[in-house]
Amino acid sequence: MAANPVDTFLNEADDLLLEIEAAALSLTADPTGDAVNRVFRAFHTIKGSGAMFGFDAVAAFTHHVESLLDQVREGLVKVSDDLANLILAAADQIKLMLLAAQGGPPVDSASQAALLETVASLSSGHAPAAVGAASPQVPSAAAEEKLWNIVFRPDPALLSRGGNPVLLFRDLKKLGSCRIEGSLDRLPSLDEMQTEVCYLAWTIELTTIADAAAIRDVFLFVEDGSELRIEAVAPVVSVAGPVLPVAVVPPAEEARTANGQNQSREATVRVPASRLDRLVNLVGELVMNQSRLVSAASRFHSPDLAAPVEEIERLVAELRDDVLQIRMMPIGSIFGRFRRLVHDLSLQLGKEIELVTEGEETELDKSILDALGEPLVHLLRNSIDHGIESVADRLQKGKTRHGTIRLTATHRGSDVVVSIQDDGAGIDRAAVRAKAVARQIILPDDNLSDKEILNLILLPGFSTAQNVTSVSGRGVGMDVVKRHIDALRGSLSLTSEPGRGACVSLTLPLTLAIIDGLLVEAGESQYIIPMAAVTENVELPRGDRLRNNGRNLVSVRGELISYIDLRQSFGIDGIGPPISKIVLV
Amino acid sequence: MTLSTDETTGMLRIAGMLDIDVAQRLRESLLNCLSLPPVAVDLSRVEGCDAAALQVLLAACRHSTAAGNGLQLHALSPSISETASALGFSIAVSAEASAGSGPDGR
Repeated sequence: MAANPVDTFLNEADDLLLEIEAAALSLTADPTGDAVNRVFRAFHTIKGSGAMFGFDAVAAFTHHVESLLDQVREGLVKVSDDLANLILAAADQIKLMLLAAQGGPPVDSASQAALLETVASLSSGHAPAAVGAASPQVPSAAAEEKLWNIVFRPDPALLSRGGNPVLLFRDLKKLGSCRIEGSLDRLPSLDEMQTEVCYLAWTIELTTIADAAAIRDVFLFVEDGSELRIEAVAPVVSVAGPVLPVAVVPPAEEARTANGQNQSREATVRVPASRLDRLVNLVGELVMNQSRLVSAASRFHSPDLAAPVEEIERLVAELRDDVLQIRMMPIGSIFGRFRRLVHDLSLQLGKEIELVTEGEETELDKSILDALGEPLVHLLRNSIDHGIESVADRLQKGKTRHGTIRLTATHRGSDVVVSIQDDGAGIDRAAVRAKAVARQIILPDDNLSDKEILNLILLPGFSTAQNVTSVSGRGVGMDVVKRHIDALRGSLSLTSEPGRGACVSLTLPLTLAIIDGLLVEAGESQYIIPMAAVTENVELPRGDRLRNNGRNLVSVRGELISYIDLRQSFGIDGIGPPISKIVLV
Repeated sequence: MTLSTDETTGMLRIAGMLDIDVAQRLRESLLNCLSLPPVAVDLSRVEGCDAAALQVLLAACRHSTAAGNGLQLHALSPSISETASALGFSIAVSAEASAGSGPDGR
């Protein structure tokens, strides 16, 4: 079934809005870097694609923001915190507009108008160009001119799709002086040609101070399916005296093949998550049946059967690993959104907080990743609200004015460990103990270890916060986090150092899609216990069975452990094998 | 696009807008002109020309055989010249029309 192009645009718009968010948050830290261009290109693409797919209101709104960003690129408007915040607000507004266009709640026109007023107030006084096709960047005279070689061999369907090379080159000429040379090497004879197919190609020499990205933007809507190469040849040196030798710099890497794919970047395919889930389920069935096949084949002792069964086992294992790998995604895909969270909450609380992330490339299963977002948000909110002190408090304590939250992910065996560590005040153990006594969770004389005191905050409704804020403090965070982590078959640990900070570590399995299991038998029935739950297998000869007070007991290295006899529980007749297996979980 | 034939000279006059919608008709008309004896074509009254129509003209200009039935372009309108120039091609008004700016006349 062909993908709905509107859905494709909406998915791509989501990605572009995330890109805008990430770039905006790094804008003030690196105002002369690539962040402005990234933001501009993302808004530019949303505007163009939005107009193409009928999201006219989105296109019109985005046009104003794009015009402001154009002025930023030209140096007419300076990068500032106000600009970064405006970009974030504009991205949020576009999200709401897209949602409204899909039947969501209507957009608040007053807040949209206020945003546009802010855009106008930040503009340098130059009126935005009329809404329509994207205007290419007009370069500032201060930058250095370069000579670019451009090879453009368009998709043969360019003309039938309404593409107009005349307008394209008119936009290109706005970037600088052009020498355009047409090529007819693809043009067949008059009696063989199909008039709707584009046979023309071009080689262009462009002298401009615009960068490759701005040049490529001109070809934004015709690039797919075309061969487009943009190579810098040399900087152009203007001198009044003798001509100086010009160093030829290596061509910039901008090659694309005829099918529109970048040769240095692997092609990717968007696949609905439901299809992946179905594939994983089928592979899971295949793995189980392959195990049964191996078990059955072992009873025949036939070399003719053993060899293909062994090969099937190898292939199924490889298929299982590859399918699970498809579902693996880097945890950095959710780390990005937390920068926005920390930024917004810091502003709200008047604190200065930096989020440092490590291990973004650490991969885990998509379903675990999807479920991890909410617990991490809770933990970050707690850290920001209760952990990191205000600027005044931190300075008084001799700390840096800005607090740091370190979000890390790393592999540890077959698990992933995600940690959130802050350099704030730490957890007040005395307050936790006092609250637990007040709620009669513990007695005043109870002797608890440090770890046991800290774990009290994982109880429902337990919060020592003086005030309930909109950020946190209702005590519904930590027990919810623990429930989420338990549901993922993970574990949570807390450490804290008074005055220096706290750390929450989440240990999670890499995947829940296909897991190793231990096959056990009781009578004629078979059962599977997840290997992650199994700690040890113990053999129990019939003569060593013990019973005490109606409980079945087994001695393991001198320690008596009670166990459940499945034959008894399920009413299976017979005395059982001479040696039973006890699975300790 | 309108086509008319000069009764005296037999010259084919092409006028109006030349775009992708009429490119097929244009191609067929020009094919008919590439006959023996060749028919001259007057494009002086063309009001506009897009890339699709231009490439038909360029293909027609390139068509030549040992028998000499290449396109005989009598006149070009400014719009055709502008489009050709904007797209980096050139069309000469003569019995030996050339296309492109490369040294080999491609």
